[in-house]
Amino acid sequence: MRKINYIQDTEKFWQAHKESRDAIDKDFEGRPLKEQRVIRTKMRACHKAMRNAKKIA
Amino acid sequence: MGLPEEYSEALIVLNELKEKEIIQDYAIGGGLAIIHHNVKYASQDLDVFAIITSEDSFHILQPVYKYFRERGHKHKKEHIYVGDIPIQIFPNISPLHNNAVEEADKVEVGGIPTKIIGVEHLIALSLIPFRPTDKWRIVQLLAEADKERLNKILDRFNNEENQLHTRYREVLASS
Repeated sequence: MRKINYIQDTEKFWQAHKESRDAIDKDFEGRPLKEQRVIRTKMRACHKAMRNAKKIA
Repeated sequence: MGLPEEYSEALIVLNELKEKEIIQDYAIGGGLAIIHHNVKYASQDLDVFAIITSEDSFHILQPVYKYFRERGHKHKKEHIYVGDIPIQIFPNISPLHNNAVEEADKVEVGGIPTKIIGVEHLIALSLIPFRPTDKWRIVQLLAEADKERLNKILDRFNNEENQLHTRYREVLASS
């Protein structure tokens, strides 16, 4: 039967999340500056879209 | 520039996952939700809180990863990459997280319908880890919050393990 199974070991879960996020930061820092600029531009555009998100209900 | 293609694609796939009942519901959380609520914040990845029912408690996310892979996206450790944008999906972290998803704000971002965790739930969720960055975040978000709604959430989820009211009072006293 399908049911909601909550995360049991939250400490382990957040640790894995932190390691994965650190790997993302490292990956970003290792990219050529040109690629970093492209990603930053996309991020800024996304931030703007999030700020302008319209409530629909 | 509107919403970049990678983020649009991520939202489209998440909506498909919901339509196909691979996930029951989802909402954007983390840094992007904080930015939505008018707080300046740096965020590279897309954090998504999801409610997922499953028979197996150990491989909850496998069907989600599979679906993204079938759409041509990579999966590395805990993150899915849509192009160069990382996404992390957090399934069923706690009843408070799932309630935050259920009651999230329904919005349209770049013409795509989605949900974003509400400001009061973001505050309540930040009271759990309660690190210095969380306290800073709470102070910034409070200006946007409905205090009555926030107190109702804290009443509902306050318990021995998570002393939400005590922590909230501590933030108010120090701000």
